[in-house]
Amino acid sequence: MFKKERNIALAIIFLILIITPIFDRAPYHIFVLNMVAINIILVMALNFILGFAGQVFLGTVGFYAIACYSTSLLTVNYGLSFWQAVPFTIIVTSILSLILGLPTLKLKGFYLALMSSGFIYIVLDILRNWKSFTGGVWGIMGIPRPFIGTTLVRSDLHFYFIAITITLCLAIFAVLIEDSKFGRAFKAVRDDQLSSEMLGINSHMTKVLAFVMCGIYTGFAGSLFASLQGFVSPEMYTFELNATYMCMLVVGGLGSVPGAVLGATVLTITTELLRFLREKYLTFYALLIIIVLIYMPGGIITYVYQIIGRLFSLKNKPSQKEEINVR
Amino acid sequence: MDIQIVMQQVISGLAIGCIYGLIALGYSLIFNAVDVVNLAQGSFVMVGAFVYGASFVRSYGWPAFPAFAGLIIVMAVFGMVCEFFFYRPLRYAHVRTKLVALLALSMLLNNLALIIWGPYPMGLEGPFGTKVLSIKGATILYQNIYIIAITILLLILQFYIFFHTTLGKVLRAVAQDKDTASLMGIEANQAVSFTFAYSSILAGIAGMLIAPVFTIGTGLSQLGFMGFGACIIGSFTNVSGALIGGIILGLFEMFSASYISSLYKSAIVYLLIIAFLLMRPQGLLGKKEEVSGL
Amino acid sequence: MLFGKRITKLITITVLTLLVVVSSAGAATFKLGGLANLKSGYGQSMVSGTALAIKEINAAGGVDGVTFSIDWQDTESSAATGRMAVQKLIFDTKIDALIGCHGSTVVLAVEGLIAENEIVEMAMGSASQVTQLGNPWLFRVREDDALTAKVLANFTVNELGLTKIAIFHMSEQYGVGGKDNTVAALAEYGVEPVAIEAHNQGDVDFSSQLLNIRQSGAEAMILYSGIPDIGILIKQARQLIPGIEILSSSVGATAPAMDVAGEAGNGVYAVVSYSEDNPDEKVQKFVQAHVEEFGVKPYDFFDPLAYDAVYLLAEAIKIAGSTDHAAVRDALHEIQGYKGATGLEYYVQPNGETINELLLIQIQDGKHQVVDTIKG
Repeated sequence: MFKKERNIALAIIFLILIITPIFDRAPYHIFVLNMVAINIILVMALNFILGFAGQVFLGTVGFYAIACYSTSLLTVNYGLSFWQAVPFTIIVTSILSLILGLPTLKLKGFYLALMSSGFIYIVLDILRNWKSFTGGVWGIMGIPRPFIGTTLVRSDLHFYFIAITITLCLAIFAVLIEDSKFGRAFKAVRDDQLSSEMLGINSHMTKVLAFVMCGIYTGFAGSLFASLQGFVSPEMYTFELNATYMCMLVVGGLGSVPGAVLGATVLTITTELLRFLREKYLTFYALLIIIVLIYMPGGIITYVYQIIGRLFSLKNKPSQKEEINVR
Repeated sequence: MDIQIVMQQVISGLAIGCIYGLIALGYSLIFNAVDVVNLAQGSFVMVGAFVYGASFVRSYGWPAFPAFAGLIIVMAVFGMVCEFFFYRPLRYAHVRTKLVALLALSMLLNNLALIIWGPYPMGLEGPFGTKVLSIKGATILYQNIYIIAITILLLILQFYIFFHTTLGKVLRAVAQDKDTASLMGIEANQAVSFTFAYSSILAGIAGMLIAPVFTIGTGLSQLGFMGFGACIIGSFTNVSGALIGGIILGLFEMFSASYISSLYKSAIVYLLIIAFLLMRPQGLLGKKEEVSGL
Repeated sequence: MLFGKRITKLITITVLTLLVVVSSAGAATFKLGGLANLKSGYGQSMVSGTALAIKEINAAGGVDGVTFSIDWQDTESSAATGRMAVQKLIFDTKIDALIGCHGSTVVLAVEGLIAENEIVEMAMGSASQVTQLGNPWLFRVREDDALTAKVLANFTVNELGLTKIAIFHMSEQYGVGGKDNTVAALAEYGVEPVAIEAHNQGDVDFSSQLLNIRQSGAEAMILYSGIPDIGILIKQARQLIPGIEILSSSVGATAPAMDVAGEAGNGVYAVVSYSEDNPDEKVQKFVQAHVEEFGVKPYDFFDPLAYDAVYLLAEAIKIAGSTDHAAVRDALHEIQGYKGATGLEYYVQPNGETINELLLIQIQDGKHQVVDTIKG
């Protein structure tokens, strides 16, 4: 519907993200940029399930924790390099998402919401208590950074270039999927499962595919995060973390790739700017979700589309149609 | 094994199960009225505990009865306010939007509670203190017996309201078809608003009753998940399903933690709930065709 | 009514801070960074403890004209967020020293950063690993878990004369570390725990674990748990295991824990670094100042510990005669026998440990009765 706007928006956001380090190389800011890149991947992952397929799945953090841990275990305990561990991590998370996706997608609405939050608790219980395998409450230390050629990527700045490249590729991939017949199938199932089935779309398989895509994307995010931090421990993964990703997606724009990218970028940076609010910033997040849901259900990306439409004088006027679909 | 211990396990399991059932009562009500599970119900319970225990009893020093009356009024208003600001603007939105909004509401309430009442948990003296009833070495808090009695009382009340009053008919009509109901002169908005008020009162009473057993703190909102689980095991649509589901959940939790592993207690409990979701999503007491959703 | 008091307090604090900032402009400022889970009571106690110390020091014109300021950052009790927050403190706020965190996970996650950037850290995590790192910039103003475990084991076996001991711990770092240390300490007396049970943080029902302990025939139970879990746990333990002796790490003797436990708390032993019922003059002066400033008594031991951490830094600046980071670090090691608001004397060890004595107390009607003072 807004293909041109979408592509321009994505190009602008990524251009800004890529050139920012030229102007600002303060170590803390570079670290935040790294987190921006990782959060973008995670929110895009959530977008596949919640935005494209329309399933209220709250278990992304569970996948994320598993991805971080599998990269850590593979590199630290089994001596793989970062680049060897990434494909294995993705295989692990996508198989898990397949296993989880197949039976649970029969569940609808709030049943899936409960089941997926249960999934987080189960994952966390295992991470905390299976000491011999996961390192228990102490987590895993000394996760290596990736090599490029023969040089170890030590600085956060260089790591950022790897992270943002991967993020950009994944964003392009997500856009390609959105435009493919799978993307159309996702949205058909989301908007009206019954009629989509009459059109010959296998709604079950479509949803499973959304799950697997989510697993693959969280696999990337987890690998990057574990390597960036150098350590993982179970208390990093909380239910509230899940809520922040959901907030990023809703505020950016449910069901829109640039929306996910924009939401993750803006809110990750805002969180850092709002650190003076300290423990109160989650209150702000919660309010933000509700306000955006009520007053701009398409997220801030709809306004960005309008501005881009005007700047580049594109023909198709933003209509209400997109918003209704999102709701 | 020691028979005394087993008896104690049964009694403790029943006690915690009834608490789950009490929390579950509020869930089924809103579900029946608007076909949405109130994911913020656990936070409503927490708010009830804070308002009654932290503000009325501890800060203002009110005696039990005025505090209880105050709680009912505050929770009724609170429920209506939540409905008006967070549910009503989204009433025509998709179920998934409502769920996300309710989740955000629960997050908002938990964090607001921290700001208003502070991060320190508080104790609350119940009407029976820590006195226990002892039967052949197995003990149960009088507070727990009190909880069981009130849960059954509320259950009967809910059953009566739902099936034997005009109000109940209105609520059921709205639940079945909002548009037709409003054509027949039923104020759907008011009915939904009332449902929220009533289920918020139920949550408030639950908060008041369980605060002396546990504590007044934001951790109480996590019990909401167990109430949700109780509804799934029992049934969302059958009024007594909540209590039965709660008791099954409580007993299962107790015995699995004792004889399988206490480390993985919550994981095992969630596995049971997930198993129910997959095998019998309508619950033990529900009818098959009642399952609906997105 | 619900908001009134807090908002007034907030405004007063903001105005005061602004005044302090304005009045101290121009003079040398020693910038502190604060790191804690600000959603927890522990974090808020650290905030009030440091605020009091900084206010006193600044009101007196600072240490050799050096005034203090502090910038708090929330860790959300996650090591990842903690690491982000420390980077903000180091690179944006440009702090001179770090107070916190109370969680050992965060301390371990950021120790590399503080060493790299030469920041003195007054850590408050109790895990034994913290001072085993050999990080010269890391100091600990909190008791070592191993010391707590030693005191508890010795008291249970030798003073109470009980050998059937169960351990009940929370399954996060504080609890698991405490359990491991206690098992090791008990092994020195040839005692093996009859039962080890665990619960997750935030659990409210402990009956199944408690019944397992009852079945094991334990006569004493050592607790490493958190707030508010430990209060509920003690209540349920009194109901389900009549006659068992309950011993706890310092968390069990904090005001919120005793408040939640109510009557059930009577008779519980605990090992603490601070007790507000300690008649010591310095302790009482601190409690009184705290009440005057905030209207409440300190809720837990983090309040005086954070207060002392600021004073230890002030002391070090005085000794060093400068605010140079390395000079302050070296001067800290010269502090021997400084009497703090906890009532303890701080002896800074080469490994960064500062506390080497603890109080054993028994709870009676919400008050501490000091049973013994134990030097490590």
